[in-house]
Amino acid sequence: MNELRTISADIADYIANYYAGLADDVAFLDVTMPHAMAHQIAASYPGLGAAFYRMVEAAAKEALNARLGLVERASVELPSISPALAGLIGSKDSSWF
Amino acid sequence: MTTLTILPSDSFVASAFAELLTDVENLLSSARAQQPPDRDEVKFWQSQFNALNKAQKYWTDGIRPTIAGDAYLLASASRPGALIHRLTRHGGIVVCSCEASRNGRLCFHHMLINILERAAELEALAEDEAEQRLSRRISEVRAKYMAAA
Repeated sequence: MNELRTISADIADYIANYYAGLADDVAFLDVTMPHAMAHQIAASYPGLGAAFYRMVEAAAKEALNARLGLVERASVELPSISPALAGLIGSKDSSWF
Repeated sequence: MTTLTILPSDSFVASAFAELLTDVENLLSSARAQQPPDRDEVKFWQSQFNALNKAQKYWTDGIRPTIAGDAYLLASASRPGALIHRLTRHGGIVVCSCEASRNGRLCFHHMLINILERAAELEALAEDEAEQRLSRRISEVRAKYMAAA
C-alpha cells in the first residue's frame, strides 16, 4: 500500500503538472478544474473519504489561484497536506490507502 | 504502483472486492452513525459503495479492461462498443476519461482498476510467501541431508 509521503508527493505532482500542462492563456483555466482534479485523486484512494476530497480540492484551488496569479506562489507546494493526511489516515480503519 | 501488464487471477480479485466492500460498508455505517451527521461523508461512502457494486457486477458478467501500454481501456457500460474509456496512471493517481469522472462523479471504471491493482498486490504478496515457504523447506531438507551425511 502507499506511504503517506508518497501519497502527498503524488498529489502535489499531479496538481502541479495538471496546471503546468495548460496554456498560459487564463481562458483555458477553468474554475471547475479543482473539483474535477480532487475527484480523480479521491477516487484513486478509495479508503479516505469526503474529508480527504475537501482537503485536496482546497489545495487544488490554492494552486489554481497561484496559476492565475491571484496569490504569489512560485510553485505548487502542499505543506499542509501531510499532517492533515496523517491525521485522516490515523482516524480510519482501512488498508485502502 | 505501475500499470499492470497482466490481469490478476479471479480469486485475488474476489479477495480485493471483499476487502474493500468490508471497509466501505464499515465507513458508511460509521458516517451514518456520526453526530452531528456529515452528509458529505455519507454521500461519499454511498457513492463508493454504489460504484463498487457496479464494478463487481460487470466483473462477474465478464467485463475485462484491456491493458494498452501504460493505459487501461474499458468499454462504456451504457454505450458498449461505441465508447471506450481510457484510464491512465499519474504516479499514485488514476485518471479516467469518462464523462462522469470528468464531471466529478465516481465511476465504476475507476473502482474496477483500484480493485484489480489491489488484487495484483495481494497476488504478488501470496507469491512471495509461497517462495519463502519453499525456500525454508529446501533449507530444512538440505540441513537434514547434511546432518545425515
